[in-house]
Amino acid sequence: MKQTALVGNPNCGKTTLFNSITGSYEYVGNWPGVTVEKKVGVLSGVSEEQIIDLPGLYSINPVSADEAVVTNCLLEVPVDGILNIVDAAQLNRSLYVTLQLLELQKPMLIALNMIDVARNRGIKVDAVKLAEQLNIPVTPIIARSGEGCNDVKTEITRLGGETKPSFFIDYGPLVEPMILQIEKIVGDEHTVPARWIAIQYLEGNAAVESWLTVRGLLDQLNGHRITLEEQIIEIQSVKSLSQYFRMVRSVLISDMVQVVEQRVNARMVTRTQQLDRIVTHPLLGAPVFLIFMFLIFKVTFDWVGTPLSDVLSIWLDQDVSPWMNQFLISQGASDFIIAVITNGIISGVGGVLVFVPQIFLLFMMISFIEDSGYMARVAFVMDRIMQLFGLNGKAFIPMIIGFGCNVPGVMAARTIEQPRERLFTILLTPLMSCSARLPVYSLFAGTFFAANQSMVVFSLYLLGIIVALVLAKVFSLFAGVSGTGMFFIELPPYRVPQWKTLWRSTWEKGKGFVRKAGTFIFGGSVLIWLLSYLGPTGAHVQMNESLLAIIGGWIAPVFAPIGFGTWQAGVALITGFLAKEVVVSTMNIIYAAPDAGTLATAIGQAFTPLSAYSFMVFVLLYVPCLATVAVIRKETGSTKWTWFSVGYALVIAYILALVVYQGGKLLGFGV
Amino acid sequence: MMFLNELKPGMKAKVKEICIENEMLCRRLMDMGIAEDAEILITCKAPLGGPVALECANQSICIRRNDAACIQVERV
Repeated sequence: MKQTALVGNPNCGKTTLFNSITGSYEYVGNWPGVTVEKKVGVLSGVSEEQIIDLPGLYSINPVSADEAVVTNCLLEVPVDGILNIVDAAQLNRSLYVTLQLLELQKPMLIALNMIDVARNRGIKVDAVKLAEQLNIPVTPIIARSGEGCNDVKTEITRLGGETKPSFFIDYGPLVEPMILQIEKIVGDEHTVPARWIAIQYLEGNAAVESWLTVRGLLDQLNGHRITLEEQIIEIQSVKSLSQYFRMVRSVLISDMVQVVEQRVNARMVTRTQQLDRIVTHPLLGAPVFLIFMFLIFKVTFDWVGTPLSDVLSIWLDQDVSPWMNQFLISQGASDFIIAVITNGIISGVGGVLVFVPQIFLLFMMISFIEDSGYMARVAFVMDRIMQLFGLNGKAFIPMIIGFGCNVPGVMAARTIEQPRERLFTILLTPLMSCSARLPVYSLFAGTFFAANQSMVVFSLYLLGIIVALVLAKVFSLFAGVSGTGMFFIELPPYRVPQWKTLWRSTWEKGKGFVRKAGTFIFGGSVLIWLLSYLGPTGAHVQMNESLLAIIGGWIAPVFAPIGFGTWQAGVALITGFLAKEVVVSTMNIIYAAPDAGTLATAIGQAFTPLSAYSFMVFVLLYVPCLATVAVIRKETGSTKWTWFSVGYALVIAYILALVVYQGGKLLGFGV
Repeated sequence: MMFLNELKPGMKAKVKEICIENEMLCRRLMDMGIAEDAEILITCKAPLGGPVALECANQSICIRRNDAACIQVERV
C-alpha cells in the first residue's frame, strides 16, 4: 500500500481532483470546498494506491485548526509521496506551500490546476519550465473538466522510490548553523526530516511545537529560537523570524515566477465581479441573502419536498405495510414477530424515512451554496451583524451547514481562527434547526397549524438563530471579551456547481440520515416497542401499564408546567436524545399509529395547539443529539464544555417553552 | 498619511506599512501576498462599518474596517 497526500491552497481544486482520480470516499463527515478533515480514497483502478485529501492551507505553519490537520498528518503519517496542487492563476501564493513541501524531501509531483482560469486572466504558466525549476514532475490539468487527471494518475503510480527531490533552500549564515544544531537534538528517526522540523520550529509552527512537546524535545530547544530571532531582527529588516523565512522564500518564488509565467495584460470585468456587485452590494446584500434562504425553505417545505414526502408516505402506508403484513402471515410468522415488524419497525423507521426527500433537497441546496462560492459572500455580508454578538461572519457558515446537520456544522467551525469565537460557534451551532428536527415540526405543525404550516416552521428556524445570537452575546459578556475579534475570508470566484459534484456531496451528507434510520432509529424502535409490549405483570400488556409508561410517568411531571406532562411526551423526549427524529418514531409506536393519519389524530387529542408549539420549541432547543454531543466533545477537546453544551440547552429550552406555554395561556391561547 | 479604510470602492493604492496587532491576521495577509508595495484595489465596503472587500494580485479578500485602518497606504 502506497499513500500519497494531496496538499494545496484552499479552493484550488483538491477535492475536485480527489473525486476525479479516486473511486469513492472512504471516510466521510465532511463538506466540499472547505475540507476540514482528512479523507482517504483509493486511486480508481489501482487498489494499492491510497490518496489522502487534506484541508487547504496557505502555509504549512497553521493559523486555524483545519490547517493544523495538514501539518499533523505530515508529521504523523509516513506518506510515500505528495501530490501538490498548484493554482496556475495564483502561482506566487501556491508556490509558497510548494517550497515548504519540497523541504520534506519526499517524492513529489505537481498538478498545475486551473490553467483555463489562468488563461482567461491572461496568465500563461510554462509547466516544463516549472518542472525544471523545481526538479519534480509537473502535470497541467483542469480538474473540473477532468482534463489531465489521467496523466496525474499515471504520475502518481510512477512516483516514489529513487526519485527524491533534490531541493534545498539556503537560509543564510545566521540561520543554517542553528538549523544544524536543532537537527542534532531532534534526531533523524522520524517520519519527516529533522531539517524540516527545525525550520518549521524556528518559524513558530504551533503544530510542530506540540509534536516536539510530546517527545520531550521542546524544552531543550527553547532558548535557541529567541536568540536567533533577536539577531535576525537586528541584521535583517524584518519584524520576526517567521517573516525572515517568508522573505527568503518569497525572493526565491519571485525569481521562479519570472521564468515560468507570462502575463498578457487582459484585465476585464469577470462574471464574478459582476455578480459580486449585486450579492455584496451595500444595500442589496442582506436582502438577497434572505430571499435565498427563504427560497430554500419554500422548496424544501412547500413546493417540492413535502409533496414528495407525501407520496412516499402514502406508498409506505398503502403498499409496503399491508404487503409486509400479508407476507409475514403467509410465512407463518408468530403474532409477536408480526407485531415487532409492523408496529415497531415499520412505524418507527418508516415514520422517519418519509422525510428523506425533504432532507435530501435541503442538503442539495446547501451543497449548491457551498459549491457556488456564495458562502464566503454570506460571511462578508453578515460579519457586521455577527460582530455585534461577539462572533464573526465566518460563524454563519457552520450555522448554515447546521441547518442540514449539526455534526458537519460543528466541524466547519474549524475554519474560524480565534479559539474563543470558534468555541462559541461550536456551542451554538446545535441550536440551528437541523433536518432531523424537521419530522417533528412536520408532524406537529401539520396537525395543529395546517393552514400556516410553513410560517410556524419558519418561526422555529428563526427562533434557533435568535437564541444562538443572544447567547453568543451573553457568553462573550461572561467571558469578559477584550473586543478584538478577527475576520478574514477569501472570496473565491463563482463557479457553476456541476451536477456530479452536487449529487455526490448531497449523497455524502444524506446517506448519514438513511444510515441512522437503519441503526439508531431501527434499534430505538425495537427497544421502544418492546418496552411498550412488556409490563410489570408480563408481556402484551395495555400500553398504559407498560414499562415504557412507567418510565415516562416518572419524568412527566417535570414537563407539566410547559404543557406536555404526559408519559408519552416524556418517553419521546428521552429517546430523542439518540437522534431528534426518534421523537417521531417513538410517537408512532406509543400511539400505536401505523400511518401518519392515525398519528395526527392521536396527537390532536394529546396536545393543544399551544402545547404543541411549546413542544416544538423544546425539541428545537433541548440537548444536541448524541452524534452532535460526540463531535462537540471531539472538537472542543473538553468534557466541561461538552456538558455545558448539554446543560445550557436544556435550561434554555425549558425556560423558553415555559414562556411560550404560560405566556400563551395568559394571552388566552391555551384553550 | 492615508489608511486603507479611507479609500472608496474603485480606488487603487499601494501598501506602505501594515501595523495590525493580531498576529494571526498579519500572517493571513502575508500568506495572501499583502505586504509592503503590494497593489490593492478596494472593491466593496459593507454597510454600517462592516468589512471591506479588496482585490490584490487577482484574489479577492475581506477584512474588517478597523483592521483596514491599520494598513497605511499610498494612492496610485
